[in-house]
Amino acid sequence: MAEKFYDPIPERILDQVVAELKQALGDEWVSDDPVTCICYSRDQSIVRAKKPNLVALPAGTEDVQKVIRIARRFQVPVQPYSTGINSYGGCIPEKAGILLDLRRMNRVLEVDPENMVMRVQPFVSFGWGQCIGEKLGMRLINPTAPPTPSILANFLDKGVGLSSTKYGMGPEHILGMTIVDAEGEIIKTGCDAYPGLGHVNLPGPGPDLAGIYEASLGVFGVCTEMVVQLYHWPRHEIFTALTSEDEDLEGILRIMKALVREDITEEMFLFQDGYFAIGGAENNEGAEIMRKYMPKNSIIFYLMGKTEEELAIKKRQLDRFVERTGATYVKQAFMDLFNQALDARRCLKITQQTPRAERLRGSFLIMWFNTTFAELPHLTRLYRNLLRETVADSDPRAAKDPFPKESPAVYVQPMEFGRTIGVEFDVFWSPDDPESVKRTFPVGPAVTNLILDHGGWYERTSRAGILQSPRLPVWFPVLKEIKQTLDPLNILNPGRMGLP
Amino acid sequence: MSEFTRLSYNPLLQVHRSALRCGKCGLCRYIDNLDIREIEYSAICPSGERFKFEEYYGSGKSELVRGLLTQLGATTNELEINDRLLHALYTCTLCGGCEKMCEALHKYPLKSIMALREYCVREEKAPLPPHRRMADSIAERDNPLGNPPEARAAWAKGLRLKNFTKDKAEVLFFTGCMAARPGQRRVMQAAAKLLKAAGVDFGILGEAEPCCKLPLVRIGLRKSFEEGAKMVIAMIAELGVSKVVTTCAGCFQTLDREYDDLGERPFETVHISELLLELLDDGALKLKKKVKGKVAYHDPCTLGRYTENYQNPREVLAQIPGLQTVEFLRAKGNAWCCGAGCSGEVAALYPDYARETAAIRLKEAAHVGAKQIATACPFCEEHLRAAGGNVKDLVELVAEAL
Repeated sequence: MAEKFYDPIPERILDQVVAELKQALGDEWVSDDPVTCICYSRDQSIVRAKKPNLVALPAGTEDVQKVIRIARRFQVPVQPYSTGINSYGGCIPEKAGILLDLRRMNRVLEVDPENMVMRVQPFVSFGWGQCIGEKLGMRLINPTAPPTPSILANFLDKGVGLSSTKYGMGPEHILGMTIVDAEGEIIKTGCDAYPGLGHVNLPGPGPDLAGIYEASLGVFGVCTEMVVQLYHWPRHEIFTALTSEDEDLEGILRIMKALVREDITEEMFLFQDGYFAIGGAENNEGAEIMRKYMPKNSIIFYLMGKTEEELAIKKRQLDRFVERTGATYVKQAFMDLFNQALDARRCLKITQQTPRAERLRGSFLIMWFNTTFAELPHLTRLYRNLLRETVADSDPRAAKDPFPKESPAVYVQPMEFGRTIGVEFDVFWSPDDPESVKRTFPVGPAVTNLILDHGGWYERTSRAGILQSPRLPVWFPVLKEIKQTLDPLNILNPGRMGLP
Repeated sequence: MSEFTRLSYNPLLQVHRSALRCGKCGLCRYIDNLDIREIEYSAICPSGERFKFEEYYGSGKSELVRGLLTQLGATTNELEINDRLLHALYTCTLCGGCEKMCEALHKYPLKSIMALREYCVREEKAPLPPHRRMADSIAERDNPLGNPPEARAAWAKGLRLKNFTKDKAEVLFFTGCMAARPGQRRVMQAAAKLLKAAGVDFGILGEAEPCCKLPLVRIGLRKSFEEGAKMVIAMIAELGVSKVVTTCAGCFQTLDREYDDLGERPFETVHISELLLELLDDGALKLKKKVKGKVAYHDPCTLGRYTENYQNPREVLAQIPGLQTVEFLRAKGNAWCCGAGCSGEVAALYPDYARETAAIRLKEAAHVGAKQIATACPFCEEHLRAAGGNVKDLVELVAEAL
């Protein structure tokens, strides 16, 4: 596929683009000032900073159409940007151009409690969504992230949350979308494609086009509205955890697989001792102390029930499970500590685990992938060895680190009743330490290849996903063809997913 | 070369490590998400909320630090101080909301903003003209607002208060520069009335009272601030008082915290809300008259987030007979800034924006059913009132109940 957009953009073109955008959106909402552009050049990831040529803030779908039509006419790339929160460089423009900052599109357009849905614009965050949901006795399935990410962007990007074990990932909660395509035309998917039918979870019409917009970072179109599912919020809960006597992963993963098939938990995830400590402690020193007393691996979960009876039944089932499998309950004292910092209301409503994890060294490299229960222990051993070779901790701060190198940060969540598991390998690095940056930068690709070589896959075509594209000899060429058809000028977020 | 360029350090180097650590999580945009009750009242950053672009938020300021620092070394992202940067920097009210909400700790966006201001001064791109006038006014009249020294004591005329230029007392009532404004006279008079009624042995400095110099550090004139602050400390120390009480939240925060590391302070500084609570609890002050009203207490940034004095003013208000209190949806650490800037420096530069920010707070007051706003800062009080609010200082309400 030939690149059709200007790269770099000639100044005379840029000046014309800025002028036309200002006319379309208002002077106040377009800036090509270097001060503006540098502020959009980084995200949470270790990806190198890159600036857009200019930033435009549309007010609504119509404005987005205008921007894309102008971009198309001048052959200038456009990157959509909602809340700017991304762990793999998804918010950093690959090819400069227009950064389409959607933060003025911050309204909850509709709430339908009867049908348990809400319609949101791109800048509506989970914190906001949960605030609305809570008043209705309902909730969104929030990601394991701060409350600030965009509901729309996170769901589209296959966001995973603590409740995904039971309720699935982001796209499962999308009922309908409004998309502005590469020609500035509007496409509606799902329930929005059936005028008058209401908020129903109907894919299609016919072949469901919605899938092409999932995990594609806007390369096929910019989503400006989304109808999302709300879920009941059971009011009775028990927050508890299980561990196994043996400290290796094999034992605990066996328990996890069996537990997920009991189908009694509301949320479920495996935390290692360090992660558990970070969530429960107020600072690094506290986390370091707590970690020493934490079990090595814990499966943490909530039992929930609409009534106390329902909860009691689930608890009895859990007790029988524990007896049967030889699992052990984590000491209640730890759960109380953890609950104080991260109680059910907070955990279900929002989770602050990501910023808390950043306290360790400033940031962490997140590698989220899928594999099977059988493959993970071996993968984890290989990962640990790789870390010893690459990010060997000469940093004196590491001595106090709740994540010493011999205990890699691993987070596990069963998906689809244990058919697969979502795993997060994390590497903690310091953005303010050039040595740390230098050592950590190659780790991502090295770990990615390790994962791909040993039975793991990425369901997102993020930076890691790019490395897996060559291993998909049929899928990836088809993707390229689709891109060429839907966006022949290649102006929508070029350079993503291994595409030109 | 100006004195500022003789500064021997680059202020950005003091914050560059924390600035680089910003993970762009966006928490600095909102109040504590667990406390959000209404989406409309969830924002915490006045400049971000108004101007929207990323450079107006705490997270954006971290990038500005990085961009300016790369001029010293690697040049992948060169940045210069221009009008846009100055606008993004000085529309910030320094409310501290971003720093309070930063769950990741160690990121210190507020410190980055202060460092950026110092840097702009160092590079002679600041102070901006209204701020330069404030600084000159402090140098000439010890008052950033242009009021002459005699105006500072006008409120005390006829009250026969002890004056430290000729009397001795145990407690210094430090009125602050806003005392020179006619609109604040009744607040000062109310405070004096209360202290007298409680039998507190206090005095004032009157015309001799210096500015605490807070505006200087907020503008970015750290060196001038430190020099002036040391003189203020010495002056108060010479009085031999063990306690300084002030009605000004900004002066309190300055004397109590900002003066740290500037020399020994043989005196304790308390905000009047703390002293009033003590006096009420000890029975030295008795409130007998009913005060009708339904007030929402507005937490001043310098008394609230900066020094975590949330409870004292509330407990004082709770002891006023007949007075109903309601809470803002954004209260205590979540409080929405009045928009003035803690020494009025934002209102001086961008009055329309400052007024819009205040209007948001007034709308919130109406939303929670408050008929009046109570506060404990003269800048908040005057600014919210100028925006159309029915506002009273805490001490006025207490004095009404005497």
